[in-house]
Amino acid sequence: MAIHPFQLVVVFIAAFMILKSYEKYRLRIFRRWEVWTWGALWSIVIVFALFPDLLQQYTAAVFMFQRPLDALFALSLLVAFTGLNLIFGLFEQQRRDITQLTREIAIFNEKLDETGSSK
Amino acid sequence: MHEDVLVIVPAYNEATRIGAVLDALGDVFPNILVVDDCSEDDTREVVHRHGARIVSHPLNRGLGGALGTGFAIARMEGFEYAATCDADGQHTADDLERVVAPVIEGTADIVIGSRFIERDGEMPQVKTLGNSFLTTLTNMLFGSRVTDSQSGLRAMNRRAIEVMDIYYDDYAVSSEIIKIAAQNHLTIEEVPIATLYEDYHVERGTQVWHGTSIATKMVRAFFRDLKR
Repeated sequence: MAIHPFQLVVVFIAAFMILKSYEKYRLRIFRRWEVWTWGALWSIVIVFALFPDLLQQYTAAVFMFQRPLDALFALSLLVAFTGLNLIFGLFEQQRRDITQLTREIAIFNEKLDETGSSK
Repeated sequence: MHEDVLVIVPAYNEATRIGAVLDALGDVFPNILVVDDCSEDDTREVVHRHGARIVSHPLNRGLGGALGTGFAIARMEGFEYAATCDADGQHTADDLERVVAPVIEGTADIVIGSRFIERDGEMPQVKTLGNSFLTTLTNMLFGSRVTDSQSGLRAMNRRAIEVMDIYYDDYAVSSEIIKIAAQNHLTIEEVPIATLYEDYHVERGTQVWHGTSIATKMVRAFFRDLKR
Protein backbone atom coordinates (compact mmCIF):
# COMPACT_ATOMS: atom_id res chain seq x y z
CA MET A 1 0.00 0.00 0.00
CA ALA A 2 1.56 3.29 -1.10
CA ILE A 3 1.07 6.17 1.29
CA HIS A 4 0.82 9.66 -0.07
CA PRO A 5 2.70 12.37 1.97
CA PHE A 6 -0.61 14.22 2.38
CA GLN A 7 -2.02 11.25 4.29
CA LEU A 8 0.92 11.37 6.71
CA VAL A 9 0.35 15.10 7.31
CA VAL A 10 -3.28 14.39 8.24
CA VAL A 11 -2.20 11.58 10.59
CA PHE A 12 0.33 13.86 12.30
CA ILE A 13 -2.23 16.65 12.70
CA ALA A 14 -4.79 14.21 14.15
CA ALA A 15 -2.24 12.69 16.53
CA PHE A 16 -1.22 16.18 17.64
CA MET A 17 -4.87 17.07 18.30
CA ILE A 18 -5.37 13.90 20.38
CA LEU A 19 -2.30 14.78 22.47
CA LYS A 20 -3.56 18.36 22.82
CA SER A 21 -6.95 17.11 24.06
CA TYR A 22 -5.20 14.91 26.62
CA GLU A 23 -3.05 17.87 27.70
CA LYS A 24 -6.21 19.96 28.19
CA TYR A 25 -7.71 17.12 30.25
CA ARG A 26 -4.54 17.00 32.37
CA LEU A 27 -4.81 20.76 32.96
CA ARG A 28 -8.48 20.26 33.89
CA ILE A 29 -9.69 22.40 30.97
CA PHE A 30 -11.49 19.42 29.40
CA ARG A 31 -13.69 16.94 31.19
CA ARG A 32 -13.33 13.19 30.73
CA TRP A 33 -16.17 12.89 28.17
CA GLU A 34 -14.73 15.75 26.14
CA VAL A 35 -11.29 14.17 25.84
CA TRP A 36 -12.91 10.85 24.84
CA THR A 37 -15.13 12.52 22.24
CA TRP A 38 -12.26 14.42 20.63
CA GLY A 39 -10.04 11.33 20.83
CA ALA A 40 -12.66 9.24 19.03
CA LEU A 41 -13.25 11.88 16.35
CA TRP A 42 -9.55 12.34 15.55
CA SER A 43 -9.01 8.55 15.59
CA ILE A 44 -11.69 8.24 12.90
CA VAL A 45 -9.81 10.89 10.91
CA ILE A 46 -6.57 8.82 11.23
CA VAL A 47 -8.33 5.65 10.05
CA PHE A 48 -9.85 7.38 7.03
CA ALA A 49 -6.55 9.15 6.23
CA LEU A 50 -4.70 5.84 6.14
CA PHE A 51 -7.46 3.92 4.36
CA PRO A 52 -9.26 6.38 2.05
CA ASP A 53 -11.00 3.54 0.18
CA LEU A 54 -12.76 2.64 3.39
CA LEU A 55 -14.28 6.11 3.46
CA GLN A 56 -15.71 5.63 -0.02
CA GLN A 57 -17.18 2.20 0.81
CA TYR A 58 -18.46 3.26 4.20
CA THR A 59 -20.15 6.47 3.09
CA ALA A 60 -21.70 4.74 0.08
CA ALA A 61 -23.03 1.84 2.14
CA VAL A 62 -24.22 3.62 5.26
CA PHE A 63 -25.06 7.18 4.28
CA MET A 64 -25.90 6.57 0.61
CA PHE A 65 -23.33 9.14 -0.48
CA GLN A 66 -21.70 8.17 -3.75
CA ARG A 67 -18.68 10.44 -3.28
CA PRO A 68 -16.69 10.95 -0.07
CA LEU A 69 -16.75 14.68 -0.80
CA ASP A 70 -20.54 14.73 -0.41
CA ALA A 71 -20.21 12.96 2.92
CA LEU A 72 -17.55 15.46 3.98
CA PHE A 73 -19.86 18.34 3.02
CA ALA A 74 -22.76 16.88 5.05
CA LEU A 75 -20.46 16.22 7.98
CA SER A 76 -19.14 19.80 7.86
CA LEU A 77 -22.70 21.11 8.01
CA LEU A 78 -23.41 18.87 11.00
CA VAL A 79 -20.24 19.97 12.78
CA ALA A 80 -21.00 23.65 12.05
CA PHE A 81 -24.55 23.27 13.38
CA THR A 82 -23.33 21.50 16.53
CA GLY A 83 -20.66 24.17 17.00
CA LEU A 84 -23.22 26.95 16.67
CA ASN A 85 -25.46 25.21 19.18
CA LEU A 86 -22.58 24.89 21.65
CA ILE A 87 -21.65 28.55 21.23
CA PHE A 88 -25.28 29.54 21.73
CA GLY A 89 -25.41 27.46 24.92
CA LEU A 90 -22.23 29.11 26.23
CA PHE A 91 -23.59 32.54 25.34
CA GLU A 92 -26.87 31.80 27.19
CA GLN A 93 -24.96 30.59 30.25
CA GLN A 94 -22.83 33.75 30.25
CA ARG A 95 -25.93 35.91 29.91
CA ARG A 96 -27.47 34.17 32.94
CA ASP A 97 -24.26 34.51 34.94
CA ILE A 98 -24.03 38.24 34.17
CA THR A 99 -27.66 38.76 35.22
CA GLN A 100 -27.10 36.82 38.45
CA LEU A 101 -23.97 38.84 39.21
CA THR A 102 -25.77 42.12 38.40
CA ARG A 103 -28.57 41.07 40.77
CA GLU A 104 -26.21 40.18 43.59
CA ILE A 105 -24.25 43.43 43.22
CA ALA A 106 -27.51 45.45 43.21
CA ILE A 107 -28.74 43.75 46.39
CA PHE A 108 -25.32 44.06 48.04
CA ASN A 109 -25.09 47.78 47.16
CA GLU A 110 -28.56 48.40 48.61
CA LYS A 111 -27.51 46.79 51.88
CA LEU A 112 -24.30 48.82 51.83
CA ASP A 113 -26.31 52.05 51.33
CA GLU A 114 -28.61 51.08 54.22
CA THR A 115 -25.63 50.46 56.50
CA GLY A 116 -23.99 53.71 55.41
CA SER A 117 -27.09 55.80 55.96
CA SER A 118 -27.84 54.23 59.37
CA LYS A 119 -24.36 55.16 60.69
CA MET B 1 -52.90 49.22 53.57
CA HIS B 2 -51.32 46.08 52.15
CA GLU B 3 -48.21 45.66 54.27
CA ASP B 4 -47.55 42.07 53.28
CA VAL B 5 -47.43 42.89 49.55
CA LEU B 6 -44.16 43.83 47.85
CA VAL B 7 -44.93 45.88 44.75
CA ILE B 8 -42.09 45.43 42.26
CA VAL B 9 -41.72 48.32 39.82
CA PRO B 10 -39.10 47.64 37.12
CA ALA B 11 -37.83 50.93 35.71
CA TYR B 12 -35.56 51.99 32.89
CA ASN B 13 -35.31 55.69 32.01
CA GLU B 14 -38.70 56.53 33.53
CA ALA B 15 -37.77 59.79 35.28
CA THR B 16 -40.72 61.66 33.75
CA ARG B 17 -43.36 59.12 34.81
CA ILE B 18 -42.26 57.16 37.84
CA GLY B 19 -42.84 59.93 40.40
CA ALA B 20 -46.59 60.02 39.75
CA VAL B 21 -46.74 56.20 39.78
CA LEU B 22 -45.02 56.02 43.17
CA ASP B 23 -47.28 58.72 44.62
CA ALA B 24 -50.40 56.88 43.47
CA LEU B 25 -49.25 53.46 44.70
CA GLY B 26 -47.74 54.73 47.94
CA ASP B 27 -51.15 55.59 49.43
CA VAL B 28 -52.22 51.93 49.32
CA PHE B 29 -49.01 49.89 49.21
CA PRO B 30 -46.34 50.78 51.78
CA ASN B 31 -43.80 48.30 50.40
CA ILE B 32 -42.75 49.43 46.95
CA LEU B 33 -39.50 48.24 45.44
CA VAL B 34 -38.22 50.02 42.34
CA VAL B 35 -35.72 47.91 40.42
CA ASP B 36 -33.77 50.45 38.40
CA ASP B 37 -32.28 48.70 35.39
CA CYS B 38 -29.24 50.99 35.05
CA SER B 39 -31.19 54.04 33.89
CA GLU B 40 -29.31 56.82 32.12
CA ASP B 41 -31.71 59.58 33.17
CA ASP B 42 -32.75 60.85 36.64
CA THR B 43 -34.91 57.85 37.55
CA ARG B 44 -32.86 57.12 40.70
CA GLU B 45 -33.05 60.72 41.93
CA VAL B 46 -36.81 60.87 41.33
CA VAL B 47 -37.35 57.62 43.23
CA HIS B 48 -35.22 58.89 46.14
CA ARG B 49 -37.17 62.16 46.18
CA HIS B 50 -40.44 60.23 46.46
CA GLY B 51 -39.06 58.18 49.33
CA ALA B 52 -39.41 54.78 47.69
CA ARG B 53 -37.02 51.89 48.09
CA ILE B 54 -34.70 51.37 45.13
CA VAL B 55 -32.33 48.63 44.02
CA SER B 56 -30.09 49.62 41.10
CA HIS B 57 -28.64 47.24 38.56
CA PRO B 58 -25.06 48.21 37.66
CA LEU B 59 -25.76 46.88 34.13
CA ASN B 60 -28.86 47.06 31.96
CA ARG B 61 -30.38 43.56 31.89
CA GLY B 62 -33.91 44.12 30.61
CA LEU B 63 -37.42 43.73 32.01
CA GLY B 64 -36.99 40.06 32.90
CA GLY B 65 -33.72 40.72 34.69
CA ALA B 66 -35.32 43.50 36.74
CA LEU B 67 -38.40 41.44 37.65
CA GLY B 68 -36.15 38.51 38.56
CA THR B 69 -34.32 40.78 41.03
CA GLY B 70 -37.65 41.84 42.52
CA PHE B 71 -38.80 38.23 42.96
CA ALA B 72 -35.43 37.28 44.49
CA ILE B 73 -35.83 40.06 47.09
CA ALA B 74 -39.45 39.08 47.78
CA ARG B 75 -38.25 35.50 48.41
CA MET B 76 -35.31 36.58 50.57
CA GLU B 77 -37.40 38.89 52.72
CA GLY B 78 -40.28 36.44 53.09
CA PHE B 79 -43.09 38.53 51.62
CA GLU B 80 -46.45 36.75 51.53
CA TYR B 81 -47.46 38.42 48.27
CA ALA B 82 -45.72 40.15 45.40
CA ALA B 83 -47.15 42.34 42.67
CA THR B 84 -45.61 43.79 39.54
CA CYS B 85 -46.51 47.16 38.09
CA ASP B 86 -45.08 49.10 35.13
CA ALA B 87 -43.24 52.34 35.90
CA ASP B 88 -44.62 54.25 32.91
CA GLY B 89 -48.05 55.02 34.38
CA GLN B 90 -49.92 52.46 32.31
CA HIS B 91 -51.66 51.06 35.39
CA THR B 92 -53.67 52.64 38.17
CA ALA B 93 -53.45 51.94 41.91
CA ASP B 94 -57.14 50.93 41.86
CA ASP B 95 -56.42 48.28 39.24
CA LEU B 96 -53.47 46.99 41.26
CA GLU B 97 -55.73 46.64 44.30
CA ARG B 98 -58.21 44.71 42.17
CA VAL B 99 -55.42 42.41 40.96
CA VAL B 100 -54.03 41.82 44.44
CA ALA B 101 -57.42 41.04 46.03
CA PRO B 102 -57.87 37.42 44.72
CA VAL B 103 -54.41 36.30 45.87
CA ILE B 104 -55.02 37.70 49.34
CA GLU B 105 -58.45 36.04 49.44
CA GLY B 106 -56.74 32.81 48.40
CA THR B 107 -58.78 32.13 45.26
CA ALA B 108 -55.72 32.12 42.97
CA ASP B 109 -51.94 31.72 43.10
CA ILE B 110 -51.35 34.25 40.33
CA VAL B 111 -53.62 37.04 39.13
CA ILE B 112 -53.09 38.89 35.86
CA GLY B 113 -54.67 42.22 35.06
CA SER B 114 -56.19 41.73 31.62
CA ARG B 115 -56.83 44.60 29.22
CA PHE B 116 -58.90 42.39 26.97
CA ILE B 117 -61.78 41.28 29.21
CA GLU B 118 -63.76 44.51 29.31
CA ARG B 119 -61.70 46.43 26.75
CA ASP B 120 -61.91 49.62 28.78
CA GLY B 121 -59.75 51.96 26.71
CA GLU B 122 -57.96 51.92 23.38
CA MET B 123 -54.88 49.93 22.44
CA PRO B 124 -53.18 50.54 19.07
CA GLN B 125 -54.23 47.91 16.53
CA VAL B 126 -50.71 46.63 15.91
CA LYS B 127 -50.21 46.10 19.67
CA THR B 128 -53.59 44.34 19.97
CA LEU B 129 -52.67 42.05 17.10
CA GLY B 130 -49.22 41.29 18.49
CA ASN B 131 -50.60 40.67 21.96
CA SER B 132 -53.30 38.31 20.62
CA PHE B 133 -50.67 36.35 18.70
CA LEU B 134 -48.34 36.01 21.71
CA THR B 135 -51.22 35.14 24.04
CA THR B 136 -52.50 32.43 21.66
CA LEU B 137 -48.97 31.03 21.29
CA THR B 138 -48.39 31.07 25.07
CA ASN B 139 -51.72 29.31 25.69
CA MET B 140 -51.00 26.71 22.99
CA LEU B 141 -47.48 25.91 24.19
CA PHE B 142 -48.06 25.89 27.93
CA GLY B 143 -51.73 24.92 28.25
CA SER B 144 -52.81 28.14 29.94
CA ARG B 145 -56.03 30.04 29.24
CA VAL B 146 -55.25 33.70 29.63
CA THR B 147 -56.48 36.64 27.57
CA ASP B 148 -53.54 38.99 28.13
CA SER B 149 -50.18 37.24 28.44
CA GLN B 150 -48.20 40.49 28.10
CA SER B 151 -49.80 42.45 30.91
CA GLY B 152 -47.36 44.07 33.34
CA LEU B 153 -49.87 44.13 36.20
CA ARG B 154 -49.76 40.89 38.17
CA ALA B 155 -49.97 39.62 41.71
CA MET B 156 -48.89 36.32 43.21
CA ASN B 157 -48.77 34.50 46.52
CA ARG B 158 -45.83 32.98 48.37
CA ARG B 159 -46.19 29.63 46.57
CA ALA B 160 -45.76 31.36 43.23
CA ILE B 161 -42.95 33.65 44.44
CA GLU B 162 -40.96 30.56 45.50
CA VAL B 163 -40.93 29.12 41.98
CA MET B 164 -40.43 32.38 40.04
CA ASP B 165 -36.89 31.70 38.89
CA ILE B 166 -36.81 33.86 35.77
CA TYR B 167 -34.69 32.64 32.84
CA TYR B 168 -35.27 35.35 30.24
CA ASP B 169 -33.93 38.88 30.73
CA ASP B 170 -36.17 40.65 28.24
CA TYR B 171 -39.88 41.05 27.45
CA ALA B 172 -40.25 37.26 27.13
CA VAL B 173 -40.58 37.27 30.93
CA SER B 174 -44.34 37.94 30.67
CA SER B 175 -44.98 34.70 28.82
CA GLU B 176 -42.39 32.94 30.97
CA ILE B 177 -44.29 33.78 34.17
CA ILE B 178 -47.35 32.05 32.70
CA LYS B 179 -45.18 29.10 31.64
CA ILE B 180 -43.76 28.75 35.18
CA ALA B 181 -47.28 28.98 36.62
CA ALA B 182 -48.59 26.30 34.27
CA GLN B 183 -45.65 23.97 34.91
CA ASN B 184 -46.04 24.27 38.68
CA HIS B 185 -49.83 23.77 38.53
CA LEU B 186 -50.50 27.20 39.99
CA THR B 187 -53.99 28.59 39.55
CA ILE B 188 -54.15 31.65 37.32
CA GLU B 189 -57.00 34.13 37.47
CA GLU B 190 -57.56 37.27 35.44
CA VAL B 191 -59.29 40.48 36.44
CA PRO B 192 -60.25 43.25 34.03
CA ILE B 193 -58.13 46.39 34.10
CA ALA B 194 -58.21 49.61 32.12
CA THR B 195 -56.05 50.13 29.05
CA LEU B 196 -54.12 53.37 29.28
CA TYR B 197 -52.17 54.04 26.10
CA GLU B 198 -50.52 57.31 25.17
CA ASP B 199 -47.92 58.10 22.50
CA TYR B 200 -45.27 57.62 25.22
CA HIS B 201 -46.37 54.00 25.73
CA VAL B 202 -46.59 53.30 22.00
CA GLU B 203 -43.01 54.43 21.44
CA ARG B 204 -41.72 52.37 24.34
CA GLY B 205 -43.02 48.96 25.41
CA THR B 206 -43.08 45.83 23.25
CA GLN B 207 -42.35 46.47 19.57
CA VAL B 208 -42.84 44.14 16.61
CA TRP B 209 -39.25 42.83 16.76
CA HIS B 210 -39.69 42.17 20.48
CA GLY B 211 -42.80 40.16 19.62
CA THR B 212 -40.98 37.91 17.17
CA SER B 213 -38.16 37.45 19.68
CA ILE B 214 -40.65 36.51 22.43
CA ALA B 215 -42.37 34.02 20.10
CA THR B 216 -39.04 32.40 19.16
CA LYS B 217 -37.97 32.15 22.78
CA MET B 218 -41.27 30.60 23.85
CA VAL B 219 -41.06 27.95 21.13
CA ARG B 220 -37.46 27.24 22.14
CA ALA B 221 -38.47 27.06 25.83
CA PHE B 222 -41.21 24.58 24.89
CA PHE B 223 -38.74 22.26 23.14
CA ARG B 224 -36.13 22.71 25.88
CA ASP B 225 -38.69 21.55 28.42
CA LEU B 226 -39.59 18.58 26.23
CA LYS B 227 -35.95 17.46 26.26
CA ARG B 228 -35.86 17.39 30.08
